Amino acid sequence: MAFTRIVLVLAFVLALAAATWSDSAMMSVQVKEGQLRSTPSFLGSVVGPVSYGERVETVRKQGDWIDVKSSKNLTGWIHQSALTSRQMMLNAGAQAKSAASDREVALAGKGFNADVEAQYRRNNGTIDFTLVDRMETMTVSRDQMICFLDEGKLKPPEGGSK
Amino acid sequence: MNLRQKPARALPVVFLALLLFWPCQNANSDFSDIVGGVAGGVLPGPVGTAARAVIAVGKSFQDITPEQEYYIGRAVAANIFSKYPPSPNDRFNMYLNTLGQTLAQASDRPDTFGGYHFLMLDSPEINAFAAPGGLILVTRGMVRLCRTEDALAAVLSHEIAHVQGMHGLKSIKNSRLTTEFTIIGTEAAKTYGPAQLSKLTEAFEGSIADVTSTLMISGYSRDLEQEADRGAVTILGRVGYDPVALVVMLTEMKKQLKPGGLDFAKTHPDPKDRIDYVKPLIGSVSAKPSPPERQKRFEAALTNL
Repeated sequence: MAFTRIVLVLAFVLALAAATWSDSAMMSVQVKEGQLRSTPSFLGSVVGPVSYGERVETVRKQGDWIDVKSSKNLTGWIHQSALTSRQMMLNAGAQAKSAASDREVALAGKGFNADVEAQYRRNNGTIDFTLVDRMETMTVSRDQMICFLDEGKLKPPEGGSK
Repeated sequence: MNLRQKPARALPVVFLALLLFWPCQNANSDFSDIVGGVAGGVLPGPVGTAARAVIAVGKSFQDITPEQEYYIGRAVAANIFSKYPPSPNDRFNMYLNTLGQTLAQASDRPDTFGGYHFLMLDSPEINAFAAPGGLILVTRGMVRLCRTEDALAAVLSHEIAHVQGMHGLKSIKNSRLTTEFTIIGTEAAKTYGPAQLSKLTEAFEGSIADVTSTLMISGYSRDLEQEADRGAVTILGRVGYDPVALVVMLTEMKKQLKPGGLDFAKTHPDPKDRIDYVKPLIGSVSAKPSPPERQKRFEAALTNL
């Protein structure tokens, strides 16, 4: 009887640990403009922005969403696809020499970057990026998504939770 | 050229205007968040100290950062635009972005460096392209094949799944990446010198050619197409669309695609084969009717297409 109770308690603790990932760690924002949300969903209201390369402290995890604290002390949820465990080096100069061999570090702005695109555009004068720039201005707000889902009798996307 | 540029210039203005009149819009639009074409704040500053240790900082496409993927995707999309003009139907492009970006949020990779953006190409050809990072282009011919919003959602979800799986990047030859990763490891200066920039640009040009050629000529492997179809079924289910719509679309494609054609027929497996592996994933073969509100807005968006 006591054994069964211990097993049940252990199972409960393990389930809780799996559901609430509380291992605090540092991660970096790997998207141009990240947003922290009040709930683990894209339909959660925006708490505030996080910028490319910003280090955030993880608090807990729920599905594919991570509750983080930003360098400006903002807390909110962000999808894991916006984060990387690698540290971003934003203005890689001399430090890059040692960092380059470290798989835990990513060099932001290096490799294929805006300078390379500019050179590519100089080499290929007929390739026009105007439409690409215009396409990138087409963004849809959270409120529009909520309305679109409601109107279409659809359900809120789970944002990658499996 | 002018024909392409005029709608291009008008695009953001008309898009903004449409937001104001779109039945499903609320006070806050994300246009305050509109971004430019470069990753401003994190670009290298003035020249720093150069280091000469030759170290490759990556090995395969998986080591391409989302930022580098973004620049590859921009150039791939620009190349596609050199073959296909954009559709000037801004009302439809607005609808396409609302649908597509909502679907992308339900993927396993909702956040890419520059986000997901959609545009219709003004071509009767039946085709769709997903440039790395989330720039998705779909032809008017493909859109006209769709009878419901669910069917269009199936097409877009398949393309989103290609972005999610980074399939475009997989087509880049390793030699290009080795060059890139070695230069990153070699040149520690904040900005590249002319020789490094030239080598990097050469590797970049090669990478763009690899991806563009895969998207427009050779197509992905059957495995990657299956992966994209599986991803599409998942995304559709998460948002509440009928996954059977994918089978409906494939059946329609089977009827309309001409064997030996230069469009989807050339770059994708036979729709019949795709139906065979998609059906067991869905477990149902009868399409549910779309709710009237959904069908009404779909038909309204397609007016004058």
